[in-house]
Amino acid sequence: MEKYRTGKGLTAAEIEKADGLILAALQNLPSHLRERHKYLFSKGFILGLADQ
Amino acid sequence: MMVTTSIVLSVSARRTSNSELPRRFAGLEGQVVLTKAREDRERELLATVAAKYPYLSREAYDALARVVFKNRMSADDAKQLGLELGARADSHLPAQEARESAGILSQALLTLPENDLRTLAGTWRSTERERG
Repeated sequence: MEKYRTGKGLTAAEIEKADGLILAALQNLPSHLRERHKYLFSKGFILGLADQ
Repeated sequence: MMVTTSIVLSVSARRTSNSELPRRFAGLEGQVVLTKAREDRERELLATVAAKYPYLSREAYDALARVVFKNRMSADDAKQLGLELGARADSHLPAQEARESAGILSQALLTLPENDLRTLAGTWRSTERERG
């Protein structure tokens, strides 16, 4: 099985499935919490890119 | 404090006798001194959380126990939970924001049905195996 190039050893399908479930879970939250998490995740992602 | 509150509010407590506590929590309840009423309430909450996350590692369960029993989440707890709950970008955030993000994600995941949690747990375990 082809591995997705993230260094996490997961296939693209596995990552897509997991991300879909997490996004579905976040949809169950009130909008202000959902937006706050979106902001924090984006910030962490950007900081991670800056580290590389 | 906000992190713990969000988790506590999101679970539906049910009556659980001491004998129903998962075996993996044996001994953990003795680590803190609680009033009887609070102890009963927190045993219920811990059992409920454990039932929601049957596939996390012992380290993650310990972190959850500390959150429930001590009403706080340390940076190490947040890191462990964030890792296992899929908050992959959190490792780059300042500690306070990483705790907040992990808490929000924890609250969200508690709303998922059992089968979805099982799928996520399988994905995370695959990740851990690949990391060695």
